[in-house]
Amino acid sequence: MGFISDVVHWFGDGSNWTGTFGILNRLREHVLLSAAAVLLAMVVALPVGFWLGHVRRGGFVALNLAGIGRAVPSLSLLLLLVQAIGLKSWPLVGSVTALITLAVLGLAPILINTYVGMRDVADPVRESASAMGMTGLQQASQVELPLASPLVVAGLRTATVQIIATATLAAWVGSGGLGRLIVDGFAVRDYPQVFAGAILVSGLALLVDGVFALAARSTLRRARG
Amino acid sequence: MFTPSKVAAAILIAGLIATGCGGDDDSSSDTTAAAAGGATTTAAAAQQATFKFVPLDSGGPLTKAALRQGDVQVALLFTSDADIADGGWVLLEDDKELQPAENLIPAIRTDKVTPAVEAALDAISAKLTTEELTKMNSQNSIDGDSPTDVAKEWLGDNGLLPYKGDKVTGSLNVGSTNFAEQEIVAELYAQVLESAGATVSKKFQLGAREIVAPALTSGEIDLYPEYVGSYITFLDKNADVPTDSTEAAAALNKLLSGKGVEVLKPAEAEDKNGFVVTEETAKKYDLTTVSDLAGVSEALTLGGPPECPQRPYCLIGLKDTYKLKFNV
Repeated sequence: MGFISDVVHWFGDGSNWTGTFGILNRLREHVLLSAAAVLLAMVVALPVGFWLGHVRRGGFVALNLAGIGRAVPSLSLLLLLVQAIGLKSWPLVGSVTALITLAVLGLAPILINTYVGMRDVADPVRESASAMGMTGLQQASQVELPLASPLVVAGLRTATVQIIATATLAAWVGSGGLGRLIVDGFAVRDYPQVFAGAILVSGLALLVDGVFALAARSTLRRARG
Repeated sequence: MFTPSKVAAAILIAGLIATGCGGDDDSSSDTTAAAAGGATTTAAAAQQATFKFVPLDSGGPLTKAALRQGDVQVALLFTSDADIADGGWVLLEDDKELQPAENLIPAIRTDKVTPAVEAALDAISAKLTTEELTKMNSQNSIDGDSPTDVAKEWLGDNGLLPYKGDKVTGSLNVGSTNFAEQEIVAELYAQVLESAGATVSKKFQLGAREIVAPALTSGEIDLYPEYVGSYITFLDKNADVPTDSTEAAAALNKLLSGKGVEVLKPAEAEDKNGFVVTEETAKKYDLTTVSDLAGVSEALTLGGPPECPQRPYCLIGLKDTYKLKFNV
């Protein structure tokens, strides 16, 4: 009971909200790093999944490559990359090392879902599209992609939630984000702050997951026509 | 249709909102920084750049890699770290005595202290200098010798093994925290006590002080090597740590009274925190002491442990005692 009230007090203290060490700044850093990582993962994975799913080829390679991305523990990748690129930091985004690590984490769900969604569009639909005289690209973007969109969004959703939850690792390499509350809290044995950091990260992940749930509902309606 | 682009737009909007509120945050802190700067303009402050701080680890691989690669120009490391000499790095002299005493000292359960045990441990502490400690660390971390072998060789060279003093009877559990230097010094204690006739069992690499100190109080271990300053701060967060090791040991015994635990005589060997720069940085800015940093007009970056901003020996002391300016 004492601990919970310590955590409540921590949130109630205005000085914990403002400044470099405050919640608002850490939240901003966390959202920007996560958003950049999701965008980077999308830029790489969406076109590849889109094209491979359309031609229905190369799936084995694509899925397994993405699987490797999923199997490599993010912390070890992060610490390996630090040896290679150091603590380089970009404005707004923060640690480049953390950005790459998180983007790799997000590749697999986006690539796999996009590929499977495009590939599994029913044959009669594809044949009708080409019978109507659509070119390959028209068929892929105007028929297959809309039908695949519920799966694509589901992939983005998984990737985004995983990235937000994992972005706490950035604090290990001197970058910002909500992970700082956890790492810095541990360092000075301020356990209420550690717990508050954990609550904020899971809260953010759940919130974004909820937004995606709403988006998913509308894409499903559209995909069904 | 166009669903992925809508999702992308949603993410962008979320990002923009976040940047928006962050933008306010930034500008407000900029204004306060500017106002503070304007209010306290002194000759030194006008000359010295605002340094940056990056939270990394406590004198560990991350901080050292960052210094090696030039991501940070100043690093907080442990002064007995063999990598300092090995890398040709320069330890800046702590000319305003910011760093408290951190001499190695045996922390031991009072019910295990006999004149013979005390004499054996004092004999080690009497010979253990910072130079010798650094040399042993280097044999371990750079040459790859095991802590057991390093300790055995040193004790032999210093006439402590075989031990020729009074016989020790009974059993002793020797513990250590989780880094190599601790294990080496714990080996020194264990091998000498064993040679003196005690039944010794080693419980090394138990974890951080948060785990090992309570294990001593509860009797799971009987002794382990401590550092005077850190141990004082551990027992009382707000205590002032003396810069003299004998005074620090007396302060410790006061804090420990009633706990069934005490410390013996401190060794000359010290492992404290120190600010380290590469040879190039030292030459470029003509640095030999920490005070010299005040004359640097370029924005250097300091790498240190995450707790640095709240520690008197780190950012607080650099700002208050050395009058350096930092972005946090």
